Amino acid sequence: MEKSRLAYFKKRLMVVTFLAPALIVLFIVVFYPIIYAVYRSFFNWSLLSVDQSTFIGLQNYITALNTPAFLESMRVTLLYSAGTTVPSIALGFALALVLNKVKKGKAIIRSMLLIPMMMAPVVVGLTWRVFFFDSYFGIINYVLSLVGISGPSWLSQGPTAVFAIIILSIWVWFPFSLLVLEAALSKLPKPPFEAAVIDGATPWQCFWKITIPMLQSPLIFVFLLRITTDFRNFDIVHVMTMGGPGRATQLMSLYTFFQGMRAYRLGYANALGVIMMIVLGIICFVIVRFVFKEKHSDKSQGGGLWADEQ
Amino acid sequence: MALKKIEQRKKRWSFIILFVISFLWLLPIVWVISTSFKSEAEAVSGGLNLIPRDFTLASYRYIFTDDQHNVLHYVFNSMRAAGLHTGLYLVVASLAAYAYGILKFRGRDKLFWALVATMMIPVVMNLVPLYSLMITFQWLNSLQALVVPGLGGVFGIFLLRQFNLGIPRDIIESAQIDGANHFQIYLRLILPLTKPALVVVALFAFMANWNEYLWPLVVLSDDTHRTLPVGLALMQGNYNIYYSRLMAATTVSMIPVMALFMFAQRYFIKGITMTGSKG
Repeated sequence: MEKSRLAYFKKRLMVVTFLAPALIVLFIVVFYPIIYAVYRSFFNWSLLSVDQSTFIGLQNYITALNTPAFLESMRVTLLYSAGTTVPSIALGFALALVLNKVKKGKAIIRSMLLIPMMMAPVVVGLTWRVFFFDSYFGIINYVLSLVGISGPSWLSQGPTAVFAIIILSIWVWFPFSLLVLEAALSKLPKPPFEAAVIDGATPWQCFWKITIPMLQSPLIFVFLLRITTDFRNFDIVHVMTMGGPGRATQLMSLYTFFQGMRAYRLGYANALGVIMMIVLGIICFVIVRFVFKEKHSDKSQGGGLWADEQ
Repeated sequence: MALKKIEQRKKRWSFIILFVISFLWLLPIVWVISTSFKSEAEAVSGGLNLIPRDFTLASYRYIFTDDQHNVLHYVFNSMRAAGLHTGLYLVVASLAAYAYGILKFRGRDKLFWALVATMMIPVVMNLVPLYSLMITFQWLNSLQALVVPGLGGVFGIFLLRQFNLGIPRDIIESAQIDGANHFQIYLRLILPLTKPALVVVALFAFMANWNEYLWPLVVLSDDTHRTLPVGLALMQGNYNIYYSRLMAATTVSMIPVMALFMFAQRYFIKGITMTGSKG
């Protein structure tokens, strides 16, 4: 009896030692800040005022939801995330189907496409700002001028600026969707397709009835990764437009950053962060649940997103 | 026979289409590199020539010797921070991945998914509390501020756990029968077996730290530890007409990551595809 308890204790200790470094770091740099941020979002906390800790309940949240600049940033963020996530997955999927046909030279294409992803977002934002969207030196306008169109000054008008940051983000991130989906495609078993072809199914039917359902879990993975990065994006937009012109490209992350680190309204900025997290959580939940119809408890199909938990 | 031919032609066209697209995808980068070798006058004049008319290293000479924003200084800072960060992260992540992938304990998977959920937290949200934490630790403008906060990233743990789950149980059990304890199994068995994954994680960690912009922008207020991305963004203001210099600095910033990528390329693709296909 004594011995087995000792063994149990030793086993626990083992788990704790292996996890300790990660959990300590995570606690300090992730969990503590989150709890603290949520807590301080209920306070009137500003570095520019004398009073730094009056409890004001939900006032920061109410203020946020009544601030046109914030509501606009939410609209821009949603537009930007949808405009980036959906095309980069669709384009990635389409080209993954093409790449899947290729046997020789796959490696070259894969490595070429990975390069934009490795560049620092700041570098990407800078170079595109200067070389592509600049109204005088920009290549896009130069090409347009060759065919006799005088291009707009991309980054100084609201709609074209949003378009510009979307195009840029797709440029950086679509290859990732392509590579993940292509890898998943190449691992699909052949028999279901052969059977379907024998039964007279068209390629189109095969795609919708077999390929898509079988790629459920990689699609969810790509989607979650895309939406969480796009929704929280900061770097590219910050160097490219600074949220401008006006507030046209001011994503929620930029608005929060300006409120917190530039205007020092820390309590308010924390409330903004909490709202962002809630909105993102809802989007992820709704899409995974209702578009992909994936249920956490449904493990019967096997090979689902949570399959290895069994 | 005819069918086979059609099939082959399809393959060839698929490759051509993809190659053209990949090439177009890389044009901006080729452009950056070519501009860095142009003279300032040529860089500003625009035009689409990818090969510089008068090839010059003047921009590089300038950015390497400039006193105010010396690129070599930024490169050194970034190297030091990213290198240290990568080393520490490998230790932290591989230990945690061992617990999540090899050890068995109650609530293991719940705890793991809770961890993965932290990927959803907006970076800007952590910013304020982490910043005040840095003040408490007196870490502003220090190397620690660049190295430590990134260690909370979950991606590496996630990837290594996926690899660990794929290791056959009997290998571990037979090591246990031979009397090895968990630390020995971790050091002698799991680490060598997951080497490809470790390379990928190291590359990701290095890349993430090397490319980080927002956090260094917030915690560094002087030039002592300033990293390359922040330095680059500053130069943009400084060099607002000097495109060629800016592009030279940009090219320099890409070299280390590219070099690492060349080295780890095979593993890199494998790592990415692993994360997608499992879990």
